[in-house]
Amino acid sequence: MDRDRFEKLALEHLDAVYRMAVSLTRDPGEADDLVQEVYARAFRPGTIERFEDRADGGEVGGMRSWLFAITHNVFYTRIKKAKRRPTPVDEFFGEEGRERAPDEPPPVFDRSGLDWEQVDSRLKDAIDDLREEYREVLMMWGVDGLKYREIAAIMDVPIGTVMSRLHRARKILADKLLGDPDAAGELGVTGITRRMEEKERTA
Amino acid sequence: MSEHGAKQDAGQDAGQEGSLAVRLRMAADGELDGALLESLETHLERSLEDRARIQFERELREAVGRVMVGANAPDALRARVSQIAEASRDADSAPALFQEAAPQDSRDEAPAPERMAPLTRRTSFWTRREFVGGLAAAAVLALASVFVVRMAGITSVPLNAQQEAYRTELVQHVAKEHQRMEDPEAASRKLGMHEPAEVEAFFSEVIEAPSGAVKRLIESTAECVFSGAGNCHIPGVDGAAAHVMLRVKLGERTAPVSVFVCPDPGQLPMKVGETYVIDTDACGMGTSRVLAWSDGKLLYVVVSKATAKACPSVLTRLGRKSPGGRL
Repeated sequence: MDRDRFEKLALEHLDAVYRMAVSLTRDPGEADDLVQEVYARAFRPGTIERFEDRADGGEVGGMRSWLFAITHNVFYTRIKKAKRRPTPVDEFFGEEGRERAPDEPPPVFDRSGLDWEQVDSRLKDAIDDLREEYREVLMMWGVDGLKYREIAAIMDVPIGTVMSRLHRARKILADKLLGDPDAAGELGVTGITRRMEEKERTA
Repeated sequence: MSEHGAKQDAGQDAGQEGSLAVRLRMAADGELDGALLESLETHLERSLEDRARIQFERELREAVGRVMVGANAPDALRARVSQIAEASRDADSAPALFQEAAPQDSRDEAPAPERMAPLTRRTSFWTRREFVGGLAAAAVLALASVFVVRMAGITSVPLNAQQEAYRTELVQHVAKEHQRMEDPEAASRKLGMHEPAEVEAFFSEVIEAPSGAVKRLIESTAECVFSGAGNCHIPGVDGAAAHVMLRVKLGERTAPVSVFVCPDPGQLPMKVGETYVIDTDACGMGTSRVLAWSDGKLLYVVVSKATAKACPSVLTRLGRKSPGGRL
């Protein structure tokens, strides 16, 4: 691949990389900075050959996945270097260590009254409250439509970890959207049902 | 995902390929096929609730997509990324001998010599045309460096393409960060350390900077007030870096001056003890004034607005002599 084509291809994914950076940093200024470093690395001398070797070596994903992998690594390297991130409570107590896809089924309810228009604003708040590793996986899954395998390759984690994080992120969102009876009523969701699930299990 | 793949990946990692809940989510995500999908479909024919669960998961995914899609990259960022591409293109066209070996992938953090080692062990590397060209270019650069140009007492130091690209990247980054700190909200987020003891501890533990220099840097006086510090990133630097913001008195007003301190990546040809003026015009950042020096271990970069002329007082504060070189 010649340099012009490589650059053109990389720049085609600038919006996706920027969105990923915003999702990780939650700050447009920092996202801007992160994106510049990602592209500075992507355009370093010799990377075209490396990129091609990577594709020839059967690694999952194309240019976008490659840029996402750089974004992921630059972001988490910065966090590591900063050494100032407090340990989240659930991580401290070992919740994060349970990287298994939980056996809990998705919620079930009568969808006929669900108004997704109203859901969106609540969902946005709920996503904003998520930790970056959940937002990151949701972004690749929900916006970019990547497969588990691609996300796992980008994050350099086992596919089970991706499934687990996705499950947990979705569960947090569903709980926030549906768990509060008042909010559920406001959203037009009826019949939600932890109780139903419990009944099912006991049955 | 194929049946085999699903079992091998999801199953082994999650340890529960037989879980209906896992398969429901995988089906909603289009990750199931083959016999696993067939068996689930058979189950779904009998379970209205599980069909609803799958439908909910799909709609949730669509909603997440809608909500998270966000804004496109701003035009200014697009322009800067294009500049990075241009600067890198120049570096890429330089002889391969001078190029830092790019990482195998972004996770490869090994130093350049180690990354280069497998390549340089091959005989073919030493017979490459680029190497011969590189050798010739090295000779030319070595000769050129002898004929340094002295202008107004400041020696211009010749840079090769890679050094120029790094200088541009560094200057654009620090100038932009300095400018970004004009926004009080951004400054309060980034420069969260205000207590001298906290800043000294950060410099000592994370940056490993000499405590005397740090004390001088953050000591508030009538002419210069320390307004905050925080950790930051500097291009090409593997270790942590610090961004210190000072306000220097200039007549009736004060001007912000940023001081960045980080492990010296050794990418610029700086003599220890010499202070350098960076050619910000050549970096497309002519509205900024940037000075830099290395103590052999740490790189210091001072940034202010070109019109502020506040840098000299920071040099005095840090016991530095006037710039003797230009990069």
